[in-house]
Amino acid sequence: MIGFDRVSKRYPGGHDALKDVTLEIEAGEMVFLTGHSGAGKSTLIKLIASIERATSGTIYVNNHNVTKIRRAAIPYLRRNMGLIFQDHKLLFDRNVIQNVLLPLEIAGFSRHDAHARARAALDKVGLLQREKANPIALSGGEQQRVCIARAVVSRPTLLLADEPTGNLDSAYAAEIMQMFKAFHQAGTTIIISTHDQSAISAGRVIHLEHGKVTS
Amino acid sequence: MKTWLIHHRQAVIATLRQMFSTPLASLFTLFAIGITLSLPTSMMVILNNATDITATLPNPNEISVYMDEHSNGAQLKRQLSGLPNVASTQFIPKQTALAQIGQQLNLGQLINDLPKNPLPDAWVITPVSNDAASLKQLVTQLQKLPDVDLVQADHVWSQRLDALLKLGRDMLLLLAGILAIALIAITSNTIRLQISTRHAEIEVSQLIGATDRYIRRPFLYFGVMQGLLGGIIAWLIVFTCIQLLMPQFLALGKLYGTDLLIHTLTLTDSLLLLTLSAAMGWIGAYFAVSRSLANIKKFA
Repeated sequence: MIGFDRVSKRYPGGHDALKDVTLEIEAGEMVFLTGHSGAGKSTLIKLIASIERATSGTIYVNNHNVTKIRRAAIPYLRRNMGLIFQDHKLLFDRNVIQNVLLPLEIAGFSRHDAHARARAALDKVGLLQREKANPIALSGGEQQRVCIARAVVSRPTLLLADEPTGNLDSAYAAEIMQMFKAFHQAGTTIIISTHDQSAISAGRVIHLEHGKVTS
Repeated sequence: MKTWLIHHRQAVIATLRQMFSTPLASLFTLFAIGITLSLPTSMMVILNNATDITATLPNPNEISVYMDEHSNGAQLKRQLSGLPNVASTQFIPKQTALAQIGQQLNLGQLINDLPKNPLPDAWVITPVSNDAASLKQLVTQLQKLPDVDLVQADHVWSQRLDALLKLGRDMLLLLAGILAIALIAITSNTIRLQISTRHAEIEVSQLIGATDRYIRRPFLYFGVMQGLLGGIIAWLIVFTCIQLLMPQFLALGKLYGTDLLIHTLTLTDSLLLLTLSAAMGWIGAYFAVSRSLANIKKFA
């Protein structure tokens, strides 16, 4: 599903975030990216989502070479993946369900279908009774769950989570990880970056150190 | 198609919500646009009227030939008709001229009390060709005829009037051009402010698969809507001014025995105004969004 072939990423200013990375991730896998902060975990995820472009090498996502992707094609690539961020990037000028509706509005779902799907997604993360709340009134764990609901609402085949439990205490973190496991069992490919070894339960681990894959 | 409709509906709703969320600021912007647009619009109305009035004037290229007192009435007819560039001639004997003046100025008995008719016999010549050179040649030929006292060619002032109108039209175009740029700048600025307050929304939308077109759409709608509403305000301003000044114009026109304000805001004028104002809004918005999208490119 995802292939990296000798990929390097150098940021402007000369910092090498990834050096000569080659790896393969199959459809349906659950992968943990581990390593210290600055090891290149976030960069790897950003390259898959075309948020950053590789300096050299080739990246395949769903058999598409995304290193050569046109800017206009990027939105359609992203609609097949759910993105989860450490800072969850929720919009505070609208309530929970409107946040979850956003990807569906972008994809052009009718109002009726979109609401049904958004409520189903909120139900999956256990926040259906909070659909009218403003995200600012929610706890950190709940905000992260809204972010997950927004990522899965368009039923992507690939979930990318960058330090999803980074700001959460261990009880919340375990809860979130449990949710990812459920999505994995439903067949979704999941890539989670984390610096917290204890969060890893099942699945494959890719360890990064100074921009290189060590295991 | 369905998706397209849904997207456009979303954009319209977002636009209206945005406008009503800051009613006072929106209103001020709309008035700024409206007043800006009302200037060239009222100038257009004035020019249209001037053009209409000149059209109702008698043929400006007619040449009046006044004879001296020795002339013998209609004698000149054959010589006049023999000249090239003469389409028709009309003889106005001095008696007729005097009677006409008496009637027009309402002098009544006073005319008959004159010891001697002070007016000369006259010919009115309608030329074939109206271009300046051939008219000038005709005037010279007429002046050489026997017993001709004065040749008066109205084409001089008609040309002056035409030149004035042309100047007015050019000034209108120039002013409209400058104000169009001002309008684009106003719209571009309000849209830029909006984009900065909706930065997070744009960023998140891009991250979850929104196309540039999707992001641009509500702002373009806003620009068009703002331009259109501004255009409507401009229309109302000009319309109100015309209504306020109408009685005075009618009174003045009566004094001159003509209609001074014939041409008010026509349907064509109004549609032109609204179309152009909406177009300027669209262009301003497109400018602002494209610049911002280029700036936020780091997420794409």
